[in-house]
Amino acid sequence: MSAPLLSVRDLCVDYVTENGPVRAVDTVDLDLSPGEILGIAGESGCGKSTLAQALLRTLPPPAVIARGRVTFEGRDVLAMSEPELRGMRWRRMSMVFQSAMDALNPVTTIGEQLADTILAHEPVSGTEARRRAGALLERVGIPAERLGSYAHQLSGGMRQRVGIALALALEPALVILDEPTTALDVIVEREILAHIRTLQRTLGFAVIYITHDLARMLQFSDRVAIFYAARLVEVGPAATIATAPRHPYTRGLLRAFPRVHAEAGAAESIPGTPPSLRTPPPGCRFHPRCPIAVEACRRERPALLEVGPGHLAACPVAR
Amino acid sequence: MHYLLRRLGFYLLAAWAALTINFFLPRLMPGDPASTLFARFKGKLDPAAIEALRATFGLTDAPLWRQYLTSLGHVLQGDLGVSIAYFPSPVAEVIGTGLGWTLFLAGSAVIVSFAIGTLLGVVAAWWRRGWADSWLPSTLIFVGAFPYFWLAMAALYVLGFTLGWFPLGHAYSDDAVPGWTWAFTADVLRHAALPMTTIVLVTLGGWLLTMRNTMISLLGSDYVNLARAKGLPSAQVALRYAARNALLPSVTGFGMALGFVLGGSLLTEIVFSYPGQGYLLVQAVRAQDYPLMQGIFLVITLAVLGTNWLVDLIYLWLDPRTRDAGS
Ligand SMILES: Nc1ncnc2c1ncn2[C@@H]1O[C@H](COP(=O)(O)OP(=O)(O)O)[C@@H](O)[C@H]1O
Ligand SMILES: [Mg+2]
Repeated sequence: MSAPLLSVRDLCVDYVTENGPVRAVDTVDLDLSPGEILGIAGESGCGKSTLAQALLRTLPPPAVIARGRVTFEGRDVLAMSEPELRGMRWRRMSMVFQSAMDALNPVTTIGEQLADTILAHEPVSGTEARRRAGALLERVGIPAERLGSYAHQLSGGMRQRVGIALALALEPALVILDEPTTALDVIVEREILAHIRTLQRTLGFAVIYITHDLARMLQFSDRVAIFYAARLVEVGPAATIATAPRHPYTRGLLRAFPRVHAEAGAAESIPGTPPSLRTPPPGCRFHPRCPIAVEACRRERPALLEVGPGHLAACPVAR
Repeated sequence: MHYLLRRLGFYLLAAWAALTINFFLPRLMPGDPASTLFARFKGKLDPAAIEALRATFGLTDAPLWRQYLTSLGHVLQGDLGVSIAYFPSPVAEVIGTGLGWTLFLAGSAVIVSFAIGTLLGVVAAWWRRGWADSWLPSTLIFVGAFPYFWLAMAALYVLGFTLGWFPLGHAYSDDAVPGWTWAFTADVLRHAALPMTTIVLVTLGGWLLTMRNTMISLLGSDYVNLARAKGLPSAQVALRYAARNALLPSVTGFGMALGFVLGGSLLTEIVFSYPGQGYLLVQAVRAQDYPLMQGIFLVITLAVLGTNWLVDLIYLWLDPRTRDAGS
């Protein structure tokens, strides 16, 4: 394995609220190789977007990075100054926002929004920036004539494509996709994912793909990380997770989205609801919903341990 | 385009309604005030004035619908009758000068206040909890909370009367020769400075708070976050992304303020004896100058409608979404 592009160690992010801090990302360790597609799956509210924004250091208050280390291309992201961050943001690491539908400025044209990104980072002329903006649009399958359009004049799918074009504007080494297709219908979703895949193969950037749809993610990713209540519970190659998941939560997720295991029968959702991050259960956070929990699960936090080649799971009970 | 025409049509309709109400209202009042009025003026006004008054009200022997059409025709030609208080000046002429001074004084005060307040709002929001944000809004709200009359009187007494830095009233000195000369312009500005400052002071806080609050809510929006994440320079994020969008609600308020102010800033003009619309209105009420009152009300209505249309234009230019809404 080559030197990691991104390495996250012991990362903790808190939302400092009036009733005390809420830990939305809890002691997360992750590695990503250049050109790799890593999927991050987990139920809504488990901290996926918070993690993504922490990597780019765009967390709005009241979020604070409480602890940990993020190394990207050999540099310590959490120690970067504001100008250093501006240099890294978008040029090396970019993101398609979860709500890319609302991520476009409603009062300026999409052409201006593509061009200002290029102009902020590269010493090119306005005309050149506009020409490149047109090329970017065509790359995501939108005719360059739409440069003069405003966000409200585009369909949801097109706005999402503009979000992707924006993320690719400076050919970064890592693109984070935060649920890039949640607001779209299935056909458009499939189309856009296929498109990203093609672009990724030609341009060679690495991807962190965040979603709550595990089945979709297993098709799309090389490696998968499963998030539950702010913690990682399982990490491994997509093929391994699809066929031999270890953690009971992952198994539950797979049963809940039976598209992969078509023979397994009807969808069967995990009983119970995800815990509140304000008052998480002690020990293993999944134990109240877990079919195989034992007494120790209620008391001790299980460590994320290697259970196979490149396969980690935080469950000492499952076999 | 379609949108603008439709709005224009709406305003024309509203203007017509205002004219109609203006015509019928005196006729609907109990006890026929016009006749009472004539009775009161008998002997005081010469017959020519009474004739002018009758003509203003269209109180001829013609049937009502004909009176109505005649009155509409007069208004469309800019003929609002003859003023009693300023007899024999036509109402249109009296209002014309008043409107000019009001436009100048209150109009520029509103524009200045809007510009400064909005800009300060951007500063306060961008450096939230910074020094500007911690004392500017509270200070200005404090100033704005004073009764305006009291504040204006205090300013006039201290800065005008005691210290003698500013003239005590009127739009220009009695001995000044009106004209487009430097001397006259300077004299007019010197007279406008104090009343204008008092208006700006009491309205500044409102603009600041509106802009600050809208902008703070937009600073958490996805497109502002994306602009930051894109690595854009701060100034660009603050102005082109956040402030540009936060401006929209303020512009609506601006149009309304401008419309109201054209009716005359009553208190300002009374305290500083400034010969604008508000001052005229007080004179008209004192002298029971009904034609002048009617004329002023009409102008106020038209001013409100006109500025609303202007705001529609500005909005169209600022917000591309309205451009497509009409078609
Ligand atoms: N502005 C906020 N203030 C307080 N808590 C927040 C805020 N935003 C998010 N959180 C907390 O962080 C958790 C994770 O949120 P998020 O990262 O958006 O989850 P996901 O993207 O997985 O749906 C939420 O469950 C919520 O408890
Ligand atoms: Mg999210």
